[in-house]
Amino acid sequence: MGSIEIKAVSRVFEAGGGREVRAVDGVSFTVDDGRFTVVLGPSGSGKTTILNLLGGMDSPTSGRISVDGADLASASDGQLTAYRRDQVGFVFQFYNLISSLTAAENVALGSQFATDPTPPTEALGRVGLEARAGSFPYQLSGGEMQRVAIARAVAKRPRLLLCDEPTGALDSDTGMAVFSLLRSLAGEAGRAVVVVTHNEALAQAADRVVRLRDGRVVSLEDNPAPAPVAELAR
Amino acid sequence: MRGALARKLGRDLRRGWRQFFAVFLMALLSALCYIGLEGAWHGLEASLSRFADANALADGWVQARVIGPAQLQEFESLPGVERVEGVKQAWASDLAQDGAYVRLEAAQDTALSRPQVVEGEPIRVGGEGVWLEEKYARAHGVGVGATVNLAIGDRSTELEVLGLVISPDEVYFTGTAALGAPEPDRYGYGYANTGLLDEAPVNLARFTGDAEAVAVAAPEILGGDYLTVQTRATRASVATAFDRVAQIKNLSYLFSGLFILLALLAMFTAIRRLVAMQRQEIAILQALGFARRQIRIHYLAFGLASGGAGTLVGAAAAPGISLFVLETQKAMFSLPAWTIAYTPLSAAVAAGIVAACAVSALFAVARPLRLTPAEGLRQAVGSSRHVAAERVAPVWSRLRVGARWALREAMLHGVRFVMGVTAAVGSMMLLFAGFGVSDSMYDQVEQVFAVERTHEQRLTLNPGADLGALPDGAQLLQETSARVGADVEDVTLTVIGDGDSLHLRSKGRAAPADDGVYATEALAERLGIAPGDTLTLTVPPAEASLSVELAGLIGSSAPQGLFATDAYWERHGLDFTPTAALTPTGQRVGADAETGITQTLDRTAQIANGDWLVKGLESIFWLIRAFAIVLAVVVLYSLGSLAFTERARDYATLSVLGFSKTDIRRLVGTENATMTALGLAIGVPAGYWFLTAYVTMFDTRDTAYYAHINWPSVVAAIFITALAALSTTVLLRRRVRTINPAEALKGTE
Repeated sequence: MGSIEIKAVSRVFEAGGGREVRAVDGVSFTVDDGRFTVVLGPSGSGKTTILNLLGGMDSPTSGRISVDGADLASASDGQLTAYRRDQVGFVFQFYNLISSLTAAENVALGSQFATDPTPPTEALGRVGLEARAGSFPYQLSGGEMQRVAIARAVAKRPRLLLCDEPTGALDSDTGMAVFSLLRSLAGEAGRAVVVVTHNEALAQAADRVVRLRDGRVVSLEDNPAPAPVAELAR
Repeated sequence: MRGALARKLGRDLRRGWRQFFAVFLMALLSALCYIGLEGAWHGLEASLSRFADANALADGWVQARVIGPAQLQEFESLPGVERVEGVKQAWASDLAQDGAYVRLEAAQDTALSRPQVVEGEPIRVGGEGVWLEEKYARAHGVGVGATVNLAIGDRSTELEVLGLVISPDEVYFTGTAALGAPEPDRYGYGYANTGLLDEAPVNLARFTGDAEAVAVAAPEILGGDYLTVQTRATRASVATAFDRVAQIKNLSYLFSGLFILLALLAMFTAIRRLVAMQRQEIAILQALGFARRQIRIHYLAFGLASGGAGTLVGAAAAPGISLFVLETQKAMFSLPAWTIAYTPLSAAVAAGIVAACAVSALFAVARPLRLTPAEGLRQAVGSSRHVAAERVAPVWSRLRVGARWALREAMLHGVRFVMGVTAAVGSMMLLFAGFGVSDSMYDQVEQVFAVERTHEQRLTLNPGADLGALPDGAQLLQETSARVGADVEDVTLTVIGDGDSLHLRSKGRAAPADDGVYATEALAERLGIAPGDTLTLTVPPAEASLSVELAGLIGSSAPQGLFATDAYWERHGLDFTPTAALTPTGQRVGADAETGITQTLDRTAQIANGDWLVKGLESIFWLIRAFAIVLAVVVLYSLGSLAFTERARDYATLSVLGFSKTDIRRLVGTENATMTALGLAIGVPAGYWFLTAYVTMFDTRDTAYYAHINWPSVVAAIFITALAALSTTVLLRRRVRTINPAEALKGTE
């Protein structure tokens, strides 16, 4: 099984006045293909920084992020773009749909450069929104917008799906439905899904749970028998 | 709390310095443009009025071959006429300067149009000597105490220069209607105590009072000796100065008006962007308990600070522009003092610019203030809809998503798109004016002196001149004043003899023909006459009144007047008595008292004079071009920048989705390119239309300008506008480099 290996990664930001903030400090773990990983931690623990590093949107100050033997830390801007384009799908907390594109067009936009993308209507059908293909984002509910965002992310058949607080802006029922959808996407064609959240309850459904505090990994747990999402406490 | 907001304002302005500078610059240029030009025209107007008042400029001038004392009394007894003074004037040749002439007037104590001595002794009667026009004297290096050798007919005399003068009658002295601009190398005037004028009759009456009464009565009082009546509005040497005031005034209204409109567009977008960057901060201020009024005042300060500072600096620098523009006029006009002056409108315009900035800020903050703090802090999902272009399904479905996005954005954000197109169109209009007025004026010189006239020399003839002394093929002209119908204003009527030096045209064929009288287009419009009309012409001598048909219009710009052939003239029983002649190419003669050729003027000198007139305005044209270029860059950049800011988060999202910087640059460039292309396509006809309206601002009674723009100027206008748009695209493309994909993961910032 392939994996993305994060090894002794640190990310230090200049905070002005010569001060440094270590957002991530010597973090190591792996993201295995086909598995569902939840990164848990309170605010300021470094969750989003880890997601940025995994998605090739930021580079570590030290350490190594190995994808099929290549180190993202030393990749050029163009190589990082290609990596995001070809291998990574993103789901944001606030959806980030383009307001003047319909649901189908948003999906098409996300897979514009993919070699073998899922057709937009099929991708929308996968998230139960085929009938809303022609709707603009403002015509959709929060949960629907997030499902469009998920369809957009998976339409290009990415190897890695990164989700930043994907249920954070949704009510609990809708949040669970979205989480369930994400959970079901893990393992499809070997796809790994990483969900960053502060919601402890979601950990029970994960294959692997990475707990962060103050930029460090405080625990790394593999869950041999993840609970079905329907059984999670709300 | 108030101190904290003030500090916030300062820091926000520093952070958004590009927008602040755009507003500052536009406010500065708007104030500079209007106030600067107003200072020039109102200053020129004030300087003229002061000179006219201080030196008792006459209200009118009656020219005749002879005016007797009884006739002067008759004029003075006309109702509404206050004072009449008769003077002797005669043209003298300056024997030391080939082809230079001085119009002498007998020195006398005068109450009207008193000449002002700028150097030397006051004008007195008695003794021998001359007070020469300052510009003529300086052009010939003649100072007070020097002598000049002048001749009238076959009599000549040496006169000591007793002083240098300028006359309120001759603020814009060309010496001859054949020249459009002063030519102090060739023509001057002077006041003299000399026996040369003993035999000259009184031939000019200056008067104050009711000019119309004099104009009506003059032909009857003077009979066959009547030549013309001029008023301040029709005497070229006075009217041109006031025309110039009107030209700069109109120029300042039209140019500044368009400029300020476009500047407002730039200021509005820049302020809107400045405020748009603060949406979340507005929500935070609301959440902290600030009242909407307090927040409004805070953001009002954005507009006031940037617009106010720019307007203040612009107003402070405006006298520099006023002085610069006046300086360009000094070679043309003769005034004892040049001052700049302003009307209350300058203050109103300045206040208006600041107010517009303030209103822009209020308008920009109105939308975020309508939201609750919670809504403001939450990420907004913009509304959208399908656009008409989608109905063309075969085309729409073939478009890439990026293109659909750009098209839908352009059609949905119509105001922003229209503003972008308007900016490009406006820039083109200003640039067309900047380049085209100069082209039109040079073209006018070319048309009048190279296309319509091909003579070698223009000769001024005395009545009874020896026509046999003229070169073979000389084309004779009779130039006389005429009145059309009941109009009491004299117009110039030119009767043309056979020859091949004058090539006027009417509807593509040579004119005038023998079928009637022809009028220039601008004169016909002023008089309200059209081809086919029957006109009653009154020509000196007064009793010669004839009914003629207006056979056609001549599209010549100068001089404005009526034209007829000698054959048509004589068919009406009138004598053809030439007053001027045009010699064929290569044929030259000298002035000679015996043959009655009193003056000669080369066509090359007329062309040089015309070109010099345009060159005198060239610096103003460059000023206009510079303003237009700065405006094009700032407006297009502000709009492009606003569009970019509004989509920054979308671009960050695209970056996360795997769009490369090049892909995003292409998207950014697409909208700019579309707006610019459309702007240029509309800008060419709009620019030509604006130029057509604009050149008429320079029309005078004798000259009508036609819009003309050379291809290189059209290309330059397109190139500059495209370059401004391109530089905007380049600047925005550089900002694409700064897009941080991680921004897309953040909440609402």
